[in-house]
Amino acid sequence: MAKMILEIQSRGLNQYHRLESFPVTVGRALDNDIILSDASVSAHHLRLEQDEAGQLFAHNLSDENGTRMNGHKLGQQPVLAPIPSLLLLGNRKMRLVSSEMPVEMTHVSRCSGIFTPLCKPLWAGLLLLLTIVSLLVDAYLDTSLQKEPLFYLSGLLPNLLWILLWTLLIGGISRLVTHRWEFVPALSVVSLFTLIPLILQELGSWLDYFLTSDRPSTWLLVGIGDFLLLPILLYAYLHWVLSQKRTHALGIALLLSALPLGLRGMNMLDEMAADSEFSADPYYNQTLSSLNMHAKPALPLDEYLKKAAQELPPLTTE
Amino acid sequence: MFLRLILLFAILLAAPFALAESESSSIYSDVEGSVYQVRVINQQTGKKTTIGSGFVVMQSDIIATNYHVVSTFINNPGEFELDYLSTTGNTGSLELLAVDVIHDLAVLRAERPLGEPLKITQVPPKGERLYSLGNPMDKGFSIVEGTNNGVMKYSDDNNILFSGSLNPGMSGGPTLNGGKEVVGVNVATSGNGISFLVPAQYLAIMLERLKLTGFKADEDILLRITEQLHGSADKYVQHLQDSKWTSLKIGSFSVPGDIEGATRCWDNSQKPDPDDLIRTYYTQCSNENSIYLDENLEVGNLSYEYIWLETDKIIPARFYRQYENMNSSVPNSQAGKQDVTNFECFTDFTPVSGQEFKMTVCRRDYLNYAGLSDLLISGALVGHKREGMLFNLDITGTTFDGGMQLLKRMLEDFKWQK
Repeated sequence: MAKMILEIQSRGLNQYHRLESFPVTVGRALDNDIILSDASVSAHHLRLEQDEAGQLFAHNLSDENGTRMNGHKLGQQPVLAPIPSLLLLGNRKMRLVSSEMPVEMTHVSRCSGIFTPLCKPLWAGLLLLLTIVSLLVDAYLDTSLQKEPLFYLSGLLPNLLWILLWTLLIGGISRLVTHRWEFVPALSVVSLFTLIPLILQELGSWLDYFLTSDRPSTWLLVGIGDFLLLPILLYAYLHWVLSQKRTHALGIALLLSALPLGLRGMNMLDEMAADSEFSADPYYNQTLSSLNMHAKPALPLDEYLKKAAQELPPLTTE
Repeated sequence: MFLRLILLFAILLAAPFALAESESSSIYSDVEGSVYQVRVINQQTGKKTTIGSGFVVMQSDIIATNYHVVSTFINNPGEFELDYLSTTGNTGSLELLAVDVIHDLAVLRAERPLGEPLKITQVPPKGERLYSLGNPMDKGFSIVEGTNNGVMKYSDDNNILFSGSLNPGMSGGPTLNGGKEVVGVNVATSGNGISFLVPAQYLAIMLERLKLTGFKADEDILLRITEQLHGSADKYVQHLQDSKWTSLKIGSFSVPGDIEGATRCWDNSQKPDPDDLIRTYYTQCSNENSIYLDENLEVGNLSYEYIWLETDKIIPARFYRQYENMNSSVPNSQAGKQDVTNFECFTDFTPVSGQEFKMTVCRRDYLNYAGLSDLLISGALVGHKREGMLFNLDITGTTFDGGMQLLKRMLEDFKWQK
């Protein structure tokens, strides 16, 4: 006959007790067989008994917070406990299982392939370096006056502090959840969160000029940058680094993104409302590119003027 | 020595002052009965919202004033009414007969005879003494003395420059020569004794036309204004085309500069800074012409600007970031939602004098003046790694075709010189 095991669930590592001789008492008092130092558990809370047929009975002894088995509250009478069963003593969860129950698959680290940069210190360092260089290049291109190197350094420092702060925050949460800091992947994720918008911006601006339209950068920056990037990175971190199941990872990622995305969404609605109002200023594609690559070939001046007249018909009044 | 100088000053000042005073006091008493305050009254509150001046002309019940004095009445049909106030305190209502928005004139009729009509005459020679009448700031009827400085050359409305201090409220009042004949109608001031008069001949033309119809009021003032604006816009474009165009050099381009008798150009370049990585040269040209239509609504402006940027200090990517930041264009006009549509724009690439430009034409139409548009054109030179040029052209209250003709002419005058 299979051995009974009592699994006491606690964050990180669960405790397992082999149940060999009955009755087994569970409670906070030190004369119990299994001692639970949980404040919601009574001094003598539960007694597990076995009859001649080998069937297990749960006998609730607590009249304080009581016991629930598989969702049902137990009275003062012993109740037959099927295997497996979920028990709730006060706030403490435990399971009655058989030692023959199949174990879950071993989690194999998925930090490989394209996710290598997320987990390996060397790659993460390079990613951070790339982010820093991108930030510096962006600041350099944006500055219209001659400046000393210190100027760029002082502009970079707040960004570095943000990266550090977020890395610590994500690492700290990982530590709470898994007892591991996971600094390297956290740093990678934060670096990516800083780097990707810069890349999207550059790409969007090039595409805008190429297509003579503001749509590519709007879609890339607002669509991907503002709305998709955060949940995707959170999902990646939760699923591949913290080994959460896909649906769990997705749920948590969406939950954590909800507030910033909601705020951004409200902001976007405001912008859309403002766009539909009267504006005294013209709206046209103002991008310029030193590469001067554009899909539409240049029109001769006469054709250009003719086309402008066609594209801008007079106001039709009803 | 010092004492004598002050005395001399005092004598020099006192002599003409005394003389002028005696002449202007006789003019004032002679024409006092022909000058009125014209008021726009809100029908709901019964209070005046705008005041100006006016004078009896041609017939004893006809009063002339500025269009801008009565524009509130015209632009808000059914909300306001017009009335007059005499120097003796009499009031009565006025009927609008006709307007000339181009020259900022309006002709009104009273229900009963108001006084002796003033006579209209030609613009006198430069330097002649003139006397301006009106009711400045609602403080009481006044006479202001000044000098005729001739018809302005650079303004299409051909106003008279009057060196005398006109003040708000005097608009629409007459400016007389020594013989008590109307030379001009008070219209504007830019302070410090620089004031402007509408030459009275334009009023004479209006009155002659009204006389033919027996002083019948225009049925559709707004339509008439639209026609006047159309005619003026087309005439203006034709006038520009016929004028002598000078050219100016900006960077490697020779481009249209002053259009004689119409526009003037000014250099607006920033003074070089040792930290500058890009040199910019900035020339701005505009006419000094505007047609007042309503509060915050003026048309007839033409302005164009050229900005040349060049660098030998930085990489093209960095140069183009700055260049792109400067590539924007805003209209001069204050027109709002009630006046115009939103801008619609067309952007494409086109060569000008063999050099490629990214060129945008934006158009918005006037809601109340059919067929009239604002045009905003913005071009950026592309294809050069370390050189750029922006060209902006802003025309308000033109016809679209007229504006496009002007654009074509301007672009054809671009010459690349390298």
